[in-house]
Amino acid sequence: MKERVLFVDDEPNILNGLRRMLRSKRANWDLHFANSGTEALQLLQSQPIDIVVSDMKMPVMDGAALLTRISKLHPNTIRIILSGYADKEAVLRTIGPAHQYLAKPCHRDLLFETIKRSLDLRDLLSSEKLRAIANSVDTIPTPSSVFNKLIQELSNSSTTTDRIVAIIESDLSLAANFLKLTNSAYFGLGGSDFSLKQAVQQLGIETIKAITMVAGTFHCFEGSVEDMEEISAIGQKSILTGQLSHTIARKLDLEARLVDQAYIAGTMSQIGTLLLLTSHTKVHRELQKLAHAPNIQRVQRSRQLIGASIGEVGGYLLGIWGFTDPIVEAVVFASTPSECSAKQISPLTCVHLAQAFAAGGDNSDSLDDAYLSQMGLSDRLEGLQDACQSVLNRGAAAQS
Amino acid sequence: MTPQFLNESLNKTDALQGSYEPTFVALSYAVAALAAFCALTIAKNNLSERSSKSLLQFWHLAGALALGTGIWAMHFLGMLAFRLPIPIHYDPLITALSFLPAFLASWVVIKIVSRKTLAIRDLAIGGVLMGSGIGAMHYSGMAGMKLDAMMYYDPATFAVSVIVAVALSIASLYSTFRLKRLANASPLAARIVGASFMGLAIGTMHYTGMAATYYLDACAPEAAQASSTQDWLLGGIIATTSVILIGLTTLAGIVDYNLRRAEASALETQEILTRVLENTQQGYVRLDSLCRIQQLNKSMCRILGLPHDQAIGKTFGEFLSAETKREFPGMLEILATGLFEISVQDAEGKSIPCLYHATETLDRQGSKNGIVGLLTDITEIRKREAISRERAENVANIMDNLPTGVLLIDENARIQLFNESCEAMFGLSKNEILGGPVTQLVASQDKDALAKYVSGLTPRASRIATVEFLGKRKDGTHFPIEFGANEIIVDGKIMLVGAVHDITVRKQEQARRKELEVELLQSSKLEAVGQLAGGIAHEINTPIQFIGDNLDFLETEFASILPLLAEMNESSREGKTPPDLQASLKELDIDFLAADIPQAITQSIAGVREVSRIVLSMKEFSHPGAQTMQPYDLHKSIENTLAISKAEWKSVAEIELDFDENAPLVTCVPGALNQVILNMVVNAAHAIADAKKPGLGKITLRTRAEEKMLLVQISDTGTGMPEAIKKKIFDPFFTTKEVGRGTGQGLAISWDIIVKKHQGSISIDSQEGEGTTFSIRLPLARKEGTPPDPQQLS
Repeated sequence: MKERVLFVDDEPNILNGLRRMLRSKRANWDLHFANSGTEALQLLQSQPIDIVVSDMKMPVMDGAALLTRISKLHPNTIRIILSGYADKEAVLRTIGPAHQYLAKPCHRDLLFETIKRSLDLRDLLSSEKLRAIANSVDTIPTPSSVFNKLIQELSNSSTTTDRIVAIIESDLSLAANFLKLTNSAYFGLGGSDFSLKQAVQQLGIETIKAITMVAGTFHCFEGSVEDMEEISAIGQKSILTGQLSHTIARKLDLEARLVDQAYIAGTMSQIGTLLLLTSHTKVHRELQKLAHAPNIQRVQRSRQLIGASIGEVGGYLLGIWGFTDPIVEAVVFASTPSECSAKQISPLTCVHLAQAFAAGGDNSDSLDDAYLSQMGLSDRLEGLQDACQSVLNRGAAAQS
Repeated sequence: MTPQFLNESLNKTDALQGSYEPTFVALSYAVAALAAFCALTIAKNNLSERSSKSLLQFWHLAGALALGTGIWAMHFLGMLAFRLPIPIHYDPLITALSFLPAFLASWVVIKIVSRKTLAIRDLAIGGVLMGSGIGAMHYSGMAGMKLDAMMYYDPATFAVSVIVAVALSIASLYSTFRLKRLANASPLAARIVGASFMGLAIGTMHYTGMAATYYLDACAPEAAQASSTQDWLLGGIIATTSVILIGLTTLAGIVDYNLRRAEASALETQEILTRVLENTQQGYVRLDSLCRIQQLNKSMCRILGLPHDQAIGKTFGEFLSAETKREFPGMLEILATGLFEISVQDAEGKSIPCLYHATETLDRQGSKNGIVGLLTDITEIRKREAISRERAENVANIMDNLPTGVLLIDENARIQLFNESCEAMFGLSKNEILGGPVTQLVASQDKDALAKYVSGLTPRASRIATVEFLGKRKDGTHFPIEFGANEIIVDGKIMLVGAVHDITVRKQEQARRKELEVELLQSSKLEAVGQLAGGIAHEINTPIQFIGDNLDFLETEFASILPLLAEMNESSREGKTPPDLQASLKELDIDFLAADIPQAITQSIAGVREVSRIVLSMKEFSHPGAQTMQPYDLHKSIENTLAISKAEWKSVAEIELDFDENAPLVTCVPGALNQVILNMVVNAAHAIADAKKPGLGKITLRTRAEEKMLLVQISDTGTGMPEAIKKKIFDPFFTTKEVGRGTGQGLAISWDIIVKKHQGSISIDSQEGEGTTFSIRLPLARKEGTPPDPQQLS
């Protein structure tokens, strides 16, 4: 079945141009065009659409409003903005409802690639229901305590980047949201893999303030004390995994870009767990029982319950948010690296090791020996673990 | 011969019949009353005063003697008044002794009367003692009679006589105390009443006693003898002696009393004087002729810091400070009198400022023998003076250091005070200017105005607005000043206190602000363009997007057509069989291409035109050459503005143009006018967006040529505005928009441009909820050849 792509723009010439340019894809994609938000919604009602690419500035119903409606009515649809508007305020309004942001003029290849990738990601999550949930999570909720702390720090005139980073870092969902912004074309920064610190520096405190204050960008999570503690623990684990993954990548002499990706992937490796905790609490609890079981067992159980591993859930989310492939790959296969087709040392290798080391204790069950030996790392494990020890010690010291 | 009581054996009727000589009876009563009066007088006069005990005793005795004598004399005068048929003689001893009970009774009376209060018991005892004393005197006096008959007493009448004596005694004592009220009003009257009672008591007792006496057994009753000359003489002697004695005693008492009163009052005066001297804060000193201290009071001791005993005998000069000695040499040696301001050195060497008032003392011969001096410690006064002096200095200091020039102008417009700020400002010293006319402070052209201002102020109330003058420094240079003055009363005269400010800096700032305003206008225009940048980018990005897409398409499709063309070209050249054209064309979807390729090209060209137009509009909109007054086509301005602001209104409103095609050019600064139109269009778009009405709103731009003006109206279908906001919209920085959507300068600058720079007008008509119309009127272009006014902008 051909995938259905809908373009929305109030300027007919834009639609004409797109139609002509995408003519070569007509064999693969079923293309639809709508001249307004209203027309787009009518079309969506008559048939399912896999991806919507919408203009931002349109009369009556603008892109942000349209995507918000679609997110509610048709959660399975992936939502992308294609806008020529450079006004920061307008861009900020799309952060919530849009998965990705593309700037006009947009090169043909980037447009093709983005659409294709989003469509391919659906293979990760075969369950439409799960996809719907992941799609409609505008942003993963952030505990209000962390959120308030961030707002407070942002209002402090003498704040520093490091302090802001420390707060964002402590909550995985906040961190993910900010990375999503810098790893997409929202602010003309797309295509690079930024670490959180770089992201904060790139955005600048004023923009972060604006993003944080715009209602609807972030959702506050109000849950039980246990949930809060768990979210906090996930945050801690994310930081640790990111740092370990970074250390390992350096130790393995990966090139700079891969080191950055390893770091981000490590940081984001828990995103699936977080999504499950906040949306499928029961499944999450069930899987928690297997926290110390071998990886493969947990993955199987997860697939049994929701048709996907936690890594796949997380990877899908990062994918539709526009994180680069090596990062998505590393998160998807972090627990089962053998399943990945790529067979060289990559950020995935680093995240896999980092996750095992972060769990601590006897990690033999968590390590995929076959994969590691294939990578030729069986002998280097001890050395890598030693290198990670100082990071672990630092983490432990910070904990106590 | 001892008298006996009557018994049954005796017959009263046998008794001798006696008679009384009335003159003596009266005299006897008079003497008794006089004696009583005397006793009371002495008692009251002497006994109420504070007197020594022995003196009291003496006067008690004296009083008792006087009263006793009176009683005794009364008795014998009574006896002399009595006539019996037989001769009467008296035993001298018994007669003399009979004085004793009289004296004792009198003593009791004096004692009691001299008390302040009288208890009933004392009254009773006193009365009994006095009564019985009088009785005892009477009957012992009777016992001293020598008769040729036996004397008998009727017991009843005897008893009555004693009771009468006691009763009247009590009555007289009682009356002297009870008549206090009367005593307060008239002591003499009270005393007379008391004395009368007492005289009555004595006399009545006597005559009652006489009535109880019977004379029997007369040897030879004879005819009653008339009073003999001898009796008269005796009576006279007794009466006279008694009266003299009593009178002298009383007189002595009175004299003594008055003497002591005078003495007491002198003592009192002395005492008051002493108390005053002891308690006053002023130092008192008495010096002898050698200026040695003879006497001094406590305060003087305190001032000198010496105990009393040590100070006595010291020369007063020792205490004077060196300064005083220098100032008043020989002041003491010549016993100078009068008021001096001196300083005294106390025991610790501390100098105390004092006021010294010296008066000479005279000896009996009336020659100067010393000085009494009063010394007032004026340290506190000096301190207070110092404080007020300091305050005055502070005020002067404050005046001098005020960053404002302060001056005082008298009613003749002459300067009476000129503070340091003034000195610095005008380069004039106080000495040079004080007393001089105030007009010399300003430039010659302002002299009259200042004189007028100053004189105009005088009769009017205070608080007059400040006035600017051109000040003149000593060196003749001029500088702008601001001057304001208020009336005040100084030393009872109406003066003006004025404040002078050097406003050179302010003037400069005003000039600079004017320049700034021009700059602000320029920068606000840039800001307006900047705000549009995002929108302009959008308007350019959109055509670029589809131009790119179309070119992509053309590239792809041409690439697919090219092989066919090449094949056809080859076959036609080489004469080969042409390819299956129909099939190839079908494969290419020739119908689609035939329709779409020209469209793609046309639309792309249109897109390129659009981009060019926007770029051109931008260029024209902010063309730097358009900063001078020149004839300008306003329709062009509107079109350009709409082109570059398309992103602002496109999604909320459609544009309706209603141009007067015959509208002539207007004379304006095109750049400034573009800015106004842009501002109006953007505001209209915002108003429509804020109204949140369904569907697109409408912005209408209308032009109409009027007689001398061109009317430009910009109407929107937005929110409209209430009256309150309407009034304020041209105020600088007034905005109803949220932060980031405008500076609040737009309309204020528009007003400035239209009204001030172009002599046009701008008005507003708005219905809340319906929309707003701005009407701008601009003067039409001047006749050709009129040069633009370059001053208009500055």
